[in-house]
Amino acid sequence: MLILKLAWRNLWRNKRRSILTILAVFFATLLSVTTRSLQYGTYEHNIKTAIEMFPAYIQIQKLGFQSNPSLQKSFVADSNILSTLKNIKEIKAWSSRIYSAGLVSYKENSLGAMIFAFDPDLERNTSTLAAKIKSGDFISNSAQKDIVVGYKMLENLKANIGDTIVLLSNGFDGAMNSIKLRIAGTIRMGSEEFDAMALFMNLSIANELLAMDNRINVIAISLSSVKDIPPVLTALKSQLKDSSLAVLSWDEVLVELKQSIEFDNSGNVIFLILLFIIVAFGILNTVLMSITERFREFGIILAIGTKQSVLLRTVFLENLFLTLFGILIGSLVGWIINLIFANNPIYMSGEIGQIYEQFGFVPALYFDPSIAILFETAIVIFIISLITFIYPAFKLLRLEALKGIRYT
Amino acid sequence: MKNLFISIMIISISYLAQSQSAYDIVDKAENMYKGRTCKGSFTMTVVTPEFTRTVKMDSWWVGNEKALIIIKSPAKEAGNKTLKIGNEMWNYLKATETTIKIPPSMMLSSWNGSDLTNDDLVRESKLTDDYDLKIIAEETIDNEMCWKLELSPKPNAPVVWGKIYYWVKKVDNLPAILQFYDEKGSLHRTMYFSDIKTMGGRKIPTKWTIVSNKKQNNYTTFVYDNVQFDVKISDRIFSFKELEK
Repeated sequence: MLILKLAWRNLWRNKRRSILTILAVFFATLLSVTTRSLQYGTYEHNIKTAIEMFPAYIQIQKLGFQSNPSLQKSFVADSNILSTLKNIKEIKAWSSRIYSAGLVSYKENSLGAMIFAFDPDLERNTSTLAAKIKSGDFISNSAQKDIVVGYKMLENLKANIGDTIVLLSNGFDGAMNSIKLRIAGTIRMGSEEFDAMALFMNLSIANELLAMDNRINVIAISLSSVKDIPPVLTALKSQLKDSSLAVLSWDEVLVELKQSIEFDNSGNVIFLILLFIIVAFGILNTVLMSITERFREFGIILAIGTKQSVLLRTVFLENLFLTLFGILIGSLVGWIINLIFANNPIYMSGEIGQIYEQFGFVPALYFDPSIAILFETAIVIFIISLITFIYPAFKLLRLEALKGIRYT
Repeated sequence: MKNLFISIMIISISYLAQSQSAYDIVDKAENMYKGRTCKGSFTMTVVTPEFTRTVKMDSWWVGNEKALIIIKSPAKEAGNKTLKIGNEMWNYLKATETTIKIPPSMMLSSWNGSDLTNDDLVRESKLTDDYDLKIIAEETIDNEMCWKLELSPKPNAPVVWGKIYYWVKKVDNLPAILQFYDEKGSLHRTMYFSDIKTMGGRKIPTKWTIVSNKKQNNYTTFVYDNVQFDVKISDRIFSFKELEK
């Protein structure tokens, strides 16, 4: 108790010294809390936007379709599949799709196309695709031969909305089939590839054109949150009886997005490690300073019979107070900043924004206001300050009374 | 010095002689079954684990320059046509009565669901022009002695293959096997020539089997039903007018 009191008094004896140490810890905490929050927030937002746009949270596919897609890797959505989907309460909606490749031709121009076919009404509940319409209309069940294409495809075809194109594709049986379809609208998805190649059409027309006989390639499943993915994955895997089906979460479907996030994250982790090293030396510096400048004082205390361990415990407690206080206000201020920006994302315009869009990211900075980041950072900073105390503690233990008194 | 010069001469002459004969072997083998011009009926069978499909067609070829293929059956596809002039290719589709030009990006896509690509039909690569030829071994295939030739693409040659191995039978200079390797050096597909018969006045392999080494259990056979070589083919048939008739 005496030690506690001594330590507390020491803090107030030299305020400048205490404030310096607190500030070192404060800035370290603040910086890592906001950096981490920005990172997590941006990732989460990008993931959500990207998967809700079309790929969806979970996909059911034929085994092997993901690595080597072909029209033949298809299945019929039988009663087992449908009842399973209905029974899992986290599943918001789903959409059966056919994925294929074909050739679009308008007058002299022809282009390769990625064909995606689905029921427009079901798709509206499953993905935000319909909201990405740039001009014209989304496909509907009332005009079945209407299609939507990427806006760049329309430009490249030199066609206009309302024009009729010919779509050519190899069907399930390998036969070359063609059909005339009307462009009802264009879509902008922010991905170069999709905007130039995607073609969205009605499931029943595609079923006929590609001789699919009601087979489909993908069931896209929409959930309300990324957090629901693990339980739904487990439920689907255990309840689907057909072992030739694969249940994949978004990160297995959008491998590139997952990889670019991991790549970006590893860069950020290196940045954080550098930050922590700087922080460690900053803290070490202030702690060491606060101890060495008191060597004469410590020498006298030792000379009048205080045990070295008591001295060490006092200094340790002082340090603990300062660190905890630094972490506390650092986290608090950091959290407030995170909260403010979480509600007001920073949108980027100009060149930087364009670069973000090219890589398929939303050109905005999002913050994650979650408390977990605070704890995560607090623990790391706390451990760092414990480690940095080792060297000063060592110096303190080796201090002899007379040497301390004569220390200049 | 003089000796060195002579030996260089001898080496280069023998090298020339060898590459000349490699050239001859391939040129002759290619001409044997393709002819300068050729017209005939063929049956193509595409076999995959999911489906088997038989397509009958009539076709006309003028060297590597021009070709016209008209699908005769199955009924659903009858009347579809493929026209090739130089490096360009068009598909005429009976169902929608439209002509579609195949864009460069689709050249490596399958032609009519087979293991042949559009590129195969268009370029029908003139092996002797686009590749450096070299005899590398003599091997026995099906009890017949064959030359094994290695074909490496010439720099800047507009070809997709990284390497081709060509087995040509010594006895009649007919092709036996063609192996196509991609640029990464992995075997992409193998073409076997078999069923040697006399047709159109020539002894030719009347069946080609194209086995995909990438997709398991996928292959395409191409059988000559009847064929005529070096006949006069009117230029008129290689036109849009004819295509859309």
